Amino acid sequence: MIRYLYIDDEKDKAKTYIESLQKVGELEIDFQQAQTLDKTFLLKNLKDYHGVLLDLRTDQELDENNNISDFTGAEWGQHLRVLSTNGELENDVPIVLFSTDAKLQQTYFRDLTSNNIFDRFLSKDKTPANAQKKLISLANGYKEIIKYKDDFNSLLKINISDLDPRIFSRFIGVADIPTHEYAQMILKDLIYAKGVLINEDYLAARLGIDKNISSDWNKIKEIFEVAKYKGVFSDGWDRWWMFGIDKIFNEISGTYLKYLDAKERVTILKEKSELENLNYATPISKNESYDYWTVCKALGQPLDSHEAFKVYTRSEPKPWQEYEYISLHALLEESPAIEEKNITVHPMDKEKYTLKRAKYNG
Amino acid sequence: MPQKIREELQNILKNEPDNYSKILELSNQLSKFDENNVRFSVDAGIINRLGMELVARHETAVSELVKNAYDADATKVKILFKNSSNIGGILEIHDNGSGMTREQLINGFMRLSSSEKMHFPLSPKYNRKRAGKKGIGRFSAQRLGQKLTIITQTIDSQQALKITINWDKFLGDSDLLSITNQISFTDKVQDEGTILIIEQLRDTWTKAQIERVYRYASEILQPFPLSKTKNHLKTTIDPGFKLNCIKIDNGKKETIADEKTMFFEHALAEIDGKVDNEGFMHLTLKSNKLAYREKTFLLNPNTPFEVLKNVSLKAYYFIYGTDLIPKQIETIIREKSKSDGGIRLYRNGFRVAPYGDRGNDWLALDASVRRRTILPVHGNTNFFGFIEVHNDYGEQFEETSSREGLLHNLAFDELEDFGYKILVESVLKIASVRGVKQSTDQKEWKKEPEEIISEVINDLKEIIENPNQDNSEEQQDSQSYTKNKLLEIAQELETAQKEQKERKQEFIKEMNLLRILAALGLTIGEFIHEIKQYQSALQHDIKNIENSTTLNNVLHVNKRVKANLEGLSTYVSYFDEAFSENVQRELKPIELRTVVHALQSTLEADIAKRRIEFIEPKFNGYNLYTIAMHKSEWASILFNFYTNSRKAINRAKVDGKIFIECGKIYNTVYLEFSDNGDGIQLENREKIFNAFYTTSMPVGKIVKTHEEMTGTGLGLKIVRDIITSYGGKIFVKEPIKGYSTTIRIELPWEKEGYKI
Repeated sequence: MIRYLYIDDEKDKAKTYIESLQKVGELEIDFQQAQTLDKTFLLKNLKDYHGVLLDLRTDQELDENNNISDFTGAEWGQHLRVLSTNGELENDVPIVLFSTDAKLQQTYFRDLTSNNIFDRFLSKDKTPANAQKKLISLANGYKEIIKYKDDFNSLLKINISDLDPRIFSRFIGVADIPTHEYAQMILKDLIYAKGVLINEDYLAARLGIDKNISSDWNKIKEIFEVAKYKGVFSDGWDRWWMFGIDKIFNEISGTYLKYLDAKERVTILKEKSELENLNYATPISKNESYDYWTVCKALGQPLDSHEAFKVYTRSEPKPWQEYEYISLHALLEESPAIEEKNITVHPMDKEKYTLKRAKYNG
Repeated sequence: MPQKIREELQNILKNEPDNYSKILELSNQLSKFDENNVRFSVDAGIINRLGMELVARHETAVSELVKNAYDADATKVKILFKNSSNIGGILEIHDNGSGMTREQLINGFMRLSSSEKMHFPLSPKYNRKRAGKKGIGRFSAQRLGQKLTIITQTIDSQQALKITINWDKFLGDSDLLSITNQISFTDKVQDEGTILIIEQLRDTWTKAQIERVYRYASEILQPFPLSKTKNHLKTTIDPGFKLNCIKIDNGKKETIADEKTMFFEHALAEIDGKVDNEGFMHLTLKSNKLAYREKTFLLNPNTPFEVLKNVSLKAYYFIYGTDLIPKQIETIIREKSKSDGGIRLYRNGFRVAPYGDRGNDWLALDASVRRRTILPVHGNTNFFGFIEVHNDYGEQFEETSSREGLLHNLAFDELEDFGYKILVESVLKIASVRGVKQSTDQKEWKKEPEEIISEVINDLKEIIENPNQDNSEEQQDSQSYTKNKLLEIAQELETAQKEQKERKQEFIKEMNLLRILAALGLTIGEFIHEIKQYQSALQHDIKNIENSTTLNNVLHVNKRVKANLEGLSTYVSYFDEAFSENVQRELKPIELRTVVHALQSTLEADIAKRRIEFIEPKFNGYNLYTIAMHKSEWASILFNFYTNSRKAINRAKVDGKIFIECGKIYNTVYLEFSDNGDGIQLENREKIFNAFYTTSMPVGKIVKTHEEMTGTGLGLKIVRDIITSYGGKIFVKEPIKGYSTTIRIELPWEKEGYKI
């Protein structure tokens, strides 16, 4: 049983949120009002919890005794991090930001200093169906990290000598790095990012397959099962090691995915797996290349990055990470996802983008 | 042949030895037979050629002659334009300079290309840097009129010299040497100086042209009283130089340009200060420009000066760049102020250097400006003035032994204090009359454009009522006066126009914001109407859940709750977006797809419920960017269209269809909104955009605010205002096939909208 502590300055709706997020026998959530929260409480009680849900603006409402909290969620979060780093708290737990989209936009996405306090954010207005799965996974992951700290081979269930050593440079030769630092590195540098690990859409794009019209897609995944990520947080996020995918494909075909276009990739896969219901994806409108390597961030369809535009992200990808891309078609069609996901073209590709776009003025 | 000439020459030398002209002519003829040498000869036509070519404008010609007077150490020059409004008048230039001796006349004036000014760049008496151009003077005179008479006398001469030159004699084909000009002695008319009389003027002289003469000569003028000169001392202090331009028509005299009309009348204020013989300091201030009547103030009622007595100050205060002075005159005064601005010091009528010289800040005015404690302008360049010390022969002030100024004693300290206080006090008083800020926390003052315009109207009326400002003016002059006046008026109107434009911009900004808020308000009205329906449905379903007996029933009702809530939240998010966009209040080009997509997703729930079909919108072409607009304006526009369509569909009692088509033609993007409602009758197609036109039923007496709002008929009027304010068009067009109403919006296309 995983237990989360939910901290908010607004009491009335807390029960609703808690009931909708709890999962009998698996996830339990307790509420603590921010106005009466203090260090003593945390020191005394936090050991009973595996995670914390924090509202962003905990400093806005009065409680029934007309108290108001001086601190925002970011400050509470930082406080928690410091307490566990100093060892005053016995445990180190995932902190999940739980707030309305408007407040996220107003504060969290504007002031980036608090971004590395939280392991993830969860929208109050559009809470996704898999929210419980993620919360549980985060809590389990922290437990794992505490157990296998310093042993990345055990944490990632892989021989890390296969990976770019720069990923781990921060942890080499430095003692007593807190658990949350490990967690954040694994989550933000590996799982959330694209590069060393890829998600299912990327996997399909790289294999050249349109999974929506290929009923044998799940069988293909089985072939690549060895490359599946099985380390911490893998119960919350489906990911594949890209180097593993490459290796398996090379064993099958004697060549590499990068050298082939989607039609060739699918032909080889069909031939070697003897699976019939596999179809290659057709390019997004206005594109010609079948050399898919990435996925359009707005449309979710496979894309050759040479035909696409880099997407701006709050921080630049690290050397082992990749840029995300958007297709010209999505931009020209003003895909609603652009606004939903707040997608903007990377400054580096702005000129290319405006030149391309100008051609459609006629 | 040469023999004959020789004989004739001998004959003349013998019988008519005074016939120089004949002797010259014959020797000249004779010299042409020189077989071993040749000589240049000069055609008399050269005089006319040079005159016309060297001096293009007649105003320049006169100012050159004025400069010659200056170079001759004159202190006063008077120019009389006699009956000069027509061609053929007389021009007289009187100066009190050093005059010319016969030798100077012959070797200087009468010798072409003489080089005296090159040899002596400074004038002998006052060390003036010579202003006149080399050798232009005589040609200037030639340029001006057909006949020149010079009367000149020096201080030492017994009589005046008079020479008359008739320029018409200098015709081509005759030899320059052969043309004679009469010279004679006459009685002296003044101690020293030169008078030029130019007759049969070649040009007419209007008032404006005479003023221009003054302006062209302004570099040598000094708007200060003339200083006395100590004859017994070899003083180098320049007493100053004054020019008066007077027009005399039919015996009527009028001063056209002098210090007063060209400088002092344009001063913002006239400042008189004095210290009486008890040490009290008085300030008398007046400003015609500000209609500020003369007033006198006692500045130190309790603290009279200890030793300073009997001094006075006179100064003219100028501020620049405020349209208070006609532009052309301001340029001159401003230039002049750079070299000569400030307060000079005179003691018993003599100028005391270096006070008020260029770069001398003896009253610490510039220093005070730099301190910025007193904000209205009061640097040296803002004043032309002087302090006079009367009847002081060492009682108060003493000259330094080097004669470089006065000794710094208590009287001098008090003198500086007096000068500074009088000027600063005046400046502050004037500033408060003008309403200019005196300290940083006061607001900037500006004339209301209406005020300027009404002043201008008065000026114009005056011109109409008194077409001839001065009866003595001939028509041409009055024309130029009127022209100048009109020019001033045009300038003032320009200022007012500029000001008005700025204000209009502000109003427009404000209007835009109000319009956006109005549009939002309207949308809110519609929203509340919708939201209320969800609200009541939800209330009922909650009751249904409470009354449910089976889980199945609860789940069933819950499905409805979920759907209604979804509908509610799309409205809220649309609303939210419109508002948060509006908070940014930032205009940006808008791709029509984005606003149509947004509308589509908002209306999904509502449309499903109403059996209205939202046909997949059609976009013709890409980059359908409008000119920069507010996104919330589009929310208002499209939502308005939608609610109107829905009403029309309800009235028509049909299965509704709504279709949006967008595209661009040339430099316009368009959006067409069609529905299959009851349509708009031809005669109403224009009216629907008018205020208060409505198809809704008249609202009842007891209505909720939102109902009033949606039925006001202001919706399309606001939509039209939005569109037209961006230079767009909105109209009801012939409905497209399959629909009964099509409204079309056209807006300027932002070609590079994607760049932002």
